[in-house]
Amino acid sequence: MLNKTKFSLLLILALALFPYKTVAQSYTPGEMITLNVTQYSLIATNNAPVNMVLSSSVAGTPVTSVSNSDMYVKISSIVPGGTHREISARIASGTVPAGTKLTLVSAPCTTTNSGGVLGTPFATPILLDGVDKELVDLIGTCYTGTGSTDGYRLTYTWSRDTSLDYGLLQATVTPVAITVVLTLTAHDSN
Amino acid sequence: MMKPYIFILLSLYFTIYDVCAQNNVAKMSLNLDIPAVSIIDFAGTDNKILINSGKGAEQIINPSTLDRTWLNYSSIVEENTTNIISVNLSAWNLPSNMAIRLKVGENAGAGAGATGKPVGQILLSKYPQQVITGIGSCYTGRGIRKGHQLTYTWEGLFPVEDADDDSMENIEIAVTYTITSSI
Repeated sequence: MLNKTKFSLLLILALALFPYKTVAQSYTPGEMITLNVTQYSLIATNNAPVNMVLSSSVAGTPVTSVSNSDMYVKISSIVPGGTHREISARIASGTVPAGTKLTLVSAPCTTTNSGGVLGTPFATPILLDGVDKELVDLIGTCYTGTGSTDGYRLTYTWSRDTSLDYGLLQATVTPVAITVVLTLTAHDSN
Repeated sequence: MMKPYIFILLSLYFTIYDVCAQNNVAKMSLNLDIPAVSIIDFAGTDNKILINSGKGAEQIINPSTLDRTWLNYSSIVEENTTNIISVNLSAWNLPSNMAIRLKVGENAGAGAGATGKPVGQILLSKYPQQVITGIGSCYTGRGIRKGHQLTYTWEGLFPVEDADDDSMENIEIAVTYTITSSI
């Protein structure tokens, strides 16, 4: 009985490690199609540099907020019927300087080279932190085009956080590097 | 006996399935920069004020300037540093028996952050003297009744009975305010 339990556990362990490479083969054909679809659901940016400087040029005034709208996000998506994806964003590395806040909002997808169900951006900018927050919802089967100004135009806004003590602001010795990760989520019906 | 294991096995399969589907990410690099800032300026209704904005600001005063001007500033400092504001006479034709006393008021509270502390009253000289210290990252607001009120008092160092009152009207004194790092 004991040996049988051990054998069962070993079998489960082996099977659990197994499916990484052969998951497609262990499914029925319908499920295999789904998996292939996710493999070419792609997301990329135009790699625009986003450099922002927070400063004030007039004596007596606080730092003025800065925005950058150079970044475009391109996707290709195919979803099973009745499902959709979202684009979410979070900070993967780096810390937004104390006393400031960084927000991100997406414009609707450009129409020049795109087609399909391109989704709906959330109108309210999201406050970027380490937790994924949704930028664009209800993305179905679509493509955005591949040009450097095709896709969802993102606007970063960096400003002082008026809810915090202004005295928290500190000059940066070197610019602070932040990595923001966009995720094109798995399709679901949420 | 096997049923719980089958459930665990299925759970693992679906977990892996989800991870595969979410492996669609794009990374973006941002650079955020906050340069150090230290700028001062004057506000006031006195038309005798000459403003050279920046780290140093020069003000032309005469005996009627009195308390009509205000000092505004913005400051962003690096960690563990503060800015100070110093004052000196930069051009003067002051009668030898006269001195000018400067009183720098408390910050009026229109801005926010770590505004500086005035040191009190000083007699102006050609040598820079600190008048506001401990300025962190802050702003005072812009305009009169914002920042620190400047009050000038003209004092005779010793009585001169036959002083010519008319000559006082021609006196113009340049006072320079400089904001610098305390280190």
